[in-house]
Amino acid sequence: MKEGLYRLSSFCTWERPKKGKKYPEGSILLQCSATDGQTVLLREDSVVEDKYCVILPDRSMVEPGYLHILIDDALPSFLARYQTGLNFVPDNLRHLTIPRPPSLERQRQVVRMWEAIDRAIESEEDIIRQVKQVKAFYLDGMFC
Amino acid sequence: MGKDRIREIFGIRKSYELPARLLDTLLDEARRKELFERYAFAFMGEEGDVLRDFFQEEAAQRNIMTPEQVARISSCVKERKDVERLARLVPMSELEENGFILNIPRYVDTSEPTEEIDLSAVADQLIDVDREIRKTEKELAGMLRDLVGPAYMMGAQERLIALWEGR
Repeated sequence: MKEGLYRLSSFCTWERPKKGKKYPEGSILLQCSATDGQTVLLREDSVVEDKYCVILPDRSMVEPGYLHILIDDALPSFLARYQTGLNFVPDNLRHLTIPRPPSLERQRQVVRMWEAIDRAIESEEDIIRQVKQVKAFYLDGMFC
Repeated sequence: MGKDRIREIFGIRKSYELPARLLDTLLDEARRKELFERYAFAFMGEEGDVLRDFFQEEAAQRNIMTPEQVARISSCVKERKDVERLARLVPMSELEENGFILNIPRYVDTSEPTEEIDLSAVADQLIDVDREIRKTEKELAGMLRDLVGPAYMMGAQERLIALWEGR
């Protein structure tokens, strides 16, 4: 596969969720109803609400976590172009292009790094929440 | 010259008519000439900026176009030229590929370019902030040492002091 941009359909398929069907872990959910581009990476097999479109990565070519990062990155400008009104029509995903993914091993490395950065952000946010709790505790006691 | 007079000159009865009336005026040479001859005084002297102020105020309040913006668009239409982030001549085949949807962003990229991140500056800032946090935590730990409270509180307080002093 040469360098450059490829259609999303080269690496996955997508569909509206079928009622009661369990989708495999690694599926990517894109909110289509009242959306501003929220996505979720399924961490376990799950039934999916019908407000989403389910993107099913072809694991022989792309790591689900890596595809999730690419889609998340591409969505803001893509939706600005293809979203009309509050909702997004899944068929428009055929217009989405993404850069050629590197080897699967390299993709896994990128995903691990992204997850580590997200954990660092969450930890810092948790520290802020807890320090605010300390402040609230002393504030409560101060005027008793 | 008041707002009502300006509305009268351009024939604007409702605010939503403003862009259409302005376009009518801009694209109609006879009407432009007539307006200029009748109301040229409005663009001169102390009142020179009254019209501009009126339209800018209207634009800010109602999210509508200023005369400059209308002129820019009408010039693109007349000259049929491509202007980055504003206008593009789109072939019929592309319209067909898009199901004849005339949503402008489909054909013209109107997004703002993303700001480039200076990683070196970010790293320096992160180091400074981290240093500031350590310093503040140590100060806070010192202040907590002076606080005396019930036994259930002191145990937790000791752990906080150890945490913030130990970094």
